[in-house]
Amino acid sequence: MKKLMKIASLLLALCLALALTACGGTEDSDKTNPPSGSGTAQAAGYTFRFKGVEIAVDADLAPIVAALGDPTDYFDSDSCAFQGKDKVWTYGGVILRSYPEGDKDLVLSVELMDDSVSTPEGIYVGSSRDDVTAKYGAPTSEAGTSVSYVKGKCTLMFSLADGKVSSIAYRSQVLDE
Amino acid sequence: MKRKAFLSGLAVFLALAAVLWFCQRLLMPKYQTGIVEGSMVEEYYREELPHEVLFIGDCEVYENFSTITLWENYGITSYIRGSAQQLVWQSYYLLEDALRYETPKVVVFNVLALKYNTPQSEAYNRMSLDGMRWSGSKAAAIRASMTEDESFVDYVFPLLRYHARWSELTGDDFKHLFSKDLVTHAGYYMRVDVKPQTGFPPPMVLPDYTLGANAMGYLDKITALCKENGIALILIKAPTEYPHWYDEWDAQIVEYAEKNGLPYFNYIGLRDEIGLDMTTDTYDAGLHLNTRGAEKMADYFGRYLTENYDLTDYRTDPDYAAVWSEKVKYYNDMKEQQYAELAEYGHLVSFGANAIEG
Repeated sequence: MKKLMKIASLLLALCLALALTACGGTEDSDKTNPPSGSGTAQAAGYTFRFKGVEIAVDADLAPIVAALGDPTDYFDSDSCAFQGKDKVWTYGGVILRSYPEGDKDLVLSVELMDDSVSTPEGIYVGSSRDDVTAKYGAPTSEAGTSVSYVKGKCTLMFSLADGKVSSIAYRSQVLDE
Repeated sequence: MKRKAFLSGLAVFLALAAVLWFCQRLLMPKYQTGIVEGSMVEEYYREELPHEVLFIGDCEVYENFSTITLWENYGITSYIRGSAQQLVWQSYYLLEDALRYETPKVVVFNVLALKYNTPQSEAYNRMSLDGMRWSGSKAAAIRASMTEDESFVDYVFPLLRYHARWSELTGDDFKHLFSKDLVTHAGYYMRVDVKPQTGFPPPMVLPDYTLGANAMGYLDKITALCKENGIALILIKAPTEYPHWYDEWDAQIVEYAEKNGLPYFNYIGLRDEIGLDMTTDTYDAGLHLNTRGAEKMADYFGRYLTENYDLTDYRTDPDYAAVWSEKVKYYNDMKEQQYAELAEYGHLVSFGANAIEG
C-alpha cells in the first residue's frame, strides 16, 4: 500500500510538473484562439491575376488589398463570440473573402461574378461548359450545377446555368473542412 | 508505523491533487468579461426550477429571443441552452444532458447550425463543452466535436490545455476562481445598443447545397429524442440574414419538417409581421437582434406557443413567480446599466467583446 501511495504521489507530482511547465510560454495559450493545424503557407495551385496582382488562396491578404487599392465595397462582421472577423472586399465583379489565421487575414476565396475579368486560362462568366473542359480538361468533381478542379490547395469552381459559366470561384480548401 | 507512513503518503497525494485542482480552476478561462459566451453552458445548472420551453442552438437563439419577455408576457418558463457556434451534435448532446434534469414540453432548434457538417474550431468547442457537467453526453459531445488537433484527455484535464495561461491571468481569474456572475438571462444574452443593418455582401456560391449527412443525422437524433420523451420539436430559422441562409437549404428543411411532421418557421420572411425594424432592432448591423428586437421576437413567438401548445402560465404560481421576479429584476437592472453606459460613453463599456474588467 505504501508503495502504491508513493507511486501515485510521484505520478501526481509529475502531472503537476508537466501541466505547469511542459510547453513553457512558447505555445499559443490564447483561450479563444487555440493552435490551429491549418498553417499559413501560401497555397500552391490555381491563381488569379487582377490589376497586375497575383492572388492565391491562403495567401496573406494584406499586401494584396494594399496593391489593389480602394475596393468598391468593403464589409466586415465579427464572428460569433468574436473569434475574428469575416471580411469581404468587392472590386466590381471580383469579390475577395478572408479568414483569420493568427493575426493575419488569409485569402478564403476569390469570386468572379461578371465578364469584366477572366481566369488566366481565358474562361469568364458566359463561357460555355465546353470552353471550360477545353481549357481545364475533365473536372476533378461535379456537384449540382458546378464543376470543380483541384490543384494544390486551391479548388477552382465553375458554376453553370443553362450550359454557361455563371460565376467562377477560387476556393481555399479551408472551406471544405 | 505502517499506518503513519500510509497516512503521510495519503496526505501528500491529497495535497498534490488539491494543488492540481486549484491550478486548473485558476488557469481555466472564466469568460466573465468580454467573451462571456463560454459561461453560458454551465449557467444552466444554476436554474432552480424546470422549464416548459427549451431552446438549443447558436447565437441565433441566445441573442434573438428574450426569455424574460416570454415570462412577462405569457408566463412561459423557458431557457436557452445556447453557445457560440453551437454545432448540431453539440445541441443534441446538450439536449440529452438537459433531459437528465427536466423534460420540457417544447424544444426549439435553430437550423443555421446544419450548415456545418464537421468539427470546426477548438475555441468554439471549448465554449460549448467545458461548461457541461460530466456525463456520457459530455463525453460523446467531445468525441463528436474534436478537431484533428484536439485530444480527449485535454477535456478531461483542462489544465493540460490551459497551463500556459499563467502569463495571461487577469483579475477576473482570481475574482471568479470559485464563483461566477450570471452572464445571461435564462440563456438570453443582452445587448441594448443599436447599429443599423445596411447591407450584406452577395452570398458565396457553393459547389453543393446539400446539407451534410452528419449534420442531418444529428437532426434525426434530436427529432427522435424529442419523440421518445413526448416533447414537441419546433424548427426555426432566426430572422437575421447573415450568415446567409440559402434557399436550397431552406427547401431541405421544409421537406424534412413535412416528412417528420414538425413545424418549421423561417422568420426572415416574417420580419414585418413580427414588427422587426432592422434599422433599430439590431446591435451589430443585422447579424443579431438587440434587446428591443429580441423582445419583439419573443412576444411574437410566445403568442404562437401559447396558441398551439399546452403551456402553463406560471405567473400566478408563487414559487415560479418568486424565482422569475429575481430574473426580471436582474434583466431590468442590466438593461438600465447598458442604457446608462450608452448615454454616458456612446457605447457599452462593461459588455461586449471590448468590455473592461470591473
